[in-house]
Amino acid sequence: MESLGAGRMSSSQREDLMDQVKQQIVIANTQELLTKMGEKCFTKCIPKPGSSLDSSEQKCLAMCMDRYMDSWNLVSRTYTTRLQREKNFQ
Amino acid sequence: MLPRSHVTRIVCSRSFDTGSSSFGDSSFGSSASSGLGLDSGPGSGSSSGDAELQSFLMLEQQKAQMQTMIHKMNDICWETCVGSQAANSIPALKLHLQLRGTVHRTSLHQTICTNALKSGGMM
Repeated sequence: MESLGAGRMSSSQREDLMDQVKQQIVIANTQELLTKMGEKCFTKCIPKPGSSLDSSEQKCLAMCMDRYMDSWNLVSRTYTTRLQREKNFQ
Repeated sequence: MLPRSHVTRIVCSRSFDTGSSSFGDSSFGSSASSGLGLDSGPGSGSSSGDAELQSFLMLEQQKAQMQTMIHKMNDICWETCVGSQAANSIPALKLHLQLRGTVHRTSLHQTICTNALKSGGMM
């Protein structure tokens, strides 16, 4: 990025910057999710090495990924609701 | 016999290591604001724009920290609820309930630790 003299940024530059920041955060988040999911599902579904993924392993991976995503969404929802609740009680 | 605050510190740090000090370690959150060299510097003509940017960044940082927490929590919950089972035998409803329970217990544990460490630190 070119030098950021923050006081001299036009509002469109500011907008661009904000968009970039948001995008980077989304990318980092997705990356984290995929890495973790890959680790967990590989350990679960691929017990021994072979030259390719056979169909049962593929099915297992697909299921595992679905479950992991379900789990992530559930955890996310439960956690945020709970935080809201605790915030409202303070 | 260890003093109580000491015990709290050990228990809290061992089992859930993202206590009150965790919010410095979300790398994408902190790099977003530190890499920009944003300070309310001298002669900044549009200081309201700066303030907007600062508050936006703080908000994004908090959101990113939340995401990190959720990742960690999902990790813990997955290991607890699904960890030892075979992948094709994960019953959906049971998983749902177990995960919710784990989230609540973990969140409660975290709250207790945070409060204990806060009050312990003031002694």
